[in-house]
Amino acid sequence: MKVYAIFLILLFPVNSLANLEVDGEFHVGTNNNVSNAVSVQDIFSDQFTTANLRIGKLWVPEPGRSVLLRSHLGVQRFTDSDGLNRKSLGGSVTYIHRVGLGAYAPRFTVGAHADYRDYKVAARDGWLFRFSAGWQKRFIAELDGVITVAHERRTADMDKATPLFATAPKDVFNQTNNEITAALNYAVMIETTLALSYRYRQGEADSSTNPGSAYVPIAKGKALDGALCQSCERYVAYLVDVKSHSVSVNLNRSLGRDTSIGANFERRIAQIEGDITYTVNLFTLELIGRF
Amino acid sequence: MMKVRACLLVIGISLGSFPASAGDLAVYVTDAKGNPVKDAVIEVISPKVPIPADWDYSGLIDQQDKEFVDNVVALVAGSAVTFPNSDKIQHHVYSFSKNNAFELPLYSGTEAAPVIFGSPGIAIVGCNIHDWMLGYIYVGEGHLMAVTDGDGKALISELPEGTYTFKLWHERAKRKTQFSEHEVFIGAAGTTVYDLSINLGRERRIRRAPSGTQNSYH
Repeated sequence: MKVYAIFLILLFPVNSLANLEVDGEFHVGTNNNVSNAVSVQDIFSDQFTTANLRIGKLWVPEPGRSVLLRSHLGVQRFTDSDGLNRKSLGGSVTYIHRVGLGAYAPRFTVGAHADYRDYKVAARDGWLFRFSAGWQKRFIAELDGVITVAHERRTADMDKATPLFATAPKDVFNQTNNEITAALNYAVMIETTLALSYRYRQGEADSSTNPGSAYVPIAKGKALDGALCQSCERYVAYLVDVKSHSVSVNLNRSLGRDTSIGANFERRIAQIEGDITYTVNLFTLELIGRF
Repeated sequence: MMKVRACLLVIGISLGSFPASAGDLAVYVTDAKGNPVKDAVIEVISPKVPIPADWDYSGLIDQQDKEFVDNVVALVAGSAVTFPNSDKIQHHVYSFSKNNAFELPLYSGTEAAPVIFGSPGIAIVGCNIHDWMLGYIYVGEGHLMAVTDGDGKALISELPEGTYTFKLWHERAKRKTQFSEHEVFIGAAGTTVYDLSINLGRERRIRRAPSGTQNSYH
């Protein structure tokens, strides 16, 4: 929370010509596999709502160079898996370097992002740190592309986790991931954009299963997981190494200068050790505003 | 499709304010569906009419709420244009346009010096921070120019009686009608109305509204 306080202080300097930026979004969506489960009997689909608000300031100390400092507030609620409900608070700093002049000049970004996530089930509580670097280029007025690489570290207090049995390693929610994302955004009409993106992610993820599952023995960590449903208090969350491929399609329509609605579909195929895979389909409707 | 509608207005008392044998040209521009087209520039190109000695060679494009206000202007070559910034943040105005390129790095208020547009042509103006900001400066050879308003009307006043050729420019006009030339006879008095229909292409500019993948615009 100290980090968050620092961000808040930095957002309000006495100075300046910094541009105050406030934006937010509201999502309703469905996730067909909230448990990241492999076996059909362990798969839970659920609906969720998400609200995010970001308040920030943009400084442009010299032409083509800018620094964006933001504070984040987020809430996510699931219909059934209410143990996954969370609140988050955090901040980020991003340096943007435009190489040249104008809208078609390529941009490089470097960012650091930290959010504290407070779940209803405390075992998942912790920080999410993300360090990213990106390249963005507008090719024509209607089309631009973005490539981003990121390193992500999620921390959790494993003392809050309940071990499956006394000697089992219970460190499930401390996770590290690296990813690369490539996206193309195309304005079909000035009001309507279509975005396609692909993400490759390598690192760790938690899955949940019933205690008798054959997958538990291969896990690096395992702990009881009561987050998924009323009747699955004895479910097990387990940590595995994962390589995943995600493809997403986003269709968005502007409602005004600074507001839009959209629909997003993402399909993620994650490969655990060997040929063991699970898939996740996410469908989201979004309302986005910049204030 | 074009049609000339001669319309002699009742002059009455106002006749006295016109020079001898002078009429007005009102061009109404519509798109293929008959909707008025705003921000089309009409310039009389022949015969050449001398620019009055007291002509005001200045122009202005303001910036408010991260947009250029009245973002299409028509000016005589040699005009000095100021770009005041009425936002509480900085803007960085530039143009790459041939012969009229300029850059006004990071400024606020009215501190930026005027820019002189010396060569006829179209100068496309942008902001290096807010990519969707877009302005057009039509730099004409003569002074007989006007920009259509919300009703699609451009009015050029006090043309001596005679036959004139004018051309049209609009940012979205398709090639056939972009810079198209038209001939019209202006009477000794009154307003000659000229209806002009043009085909508009799709709007090609950078979108301002955020999207799921582009919530930040920098």
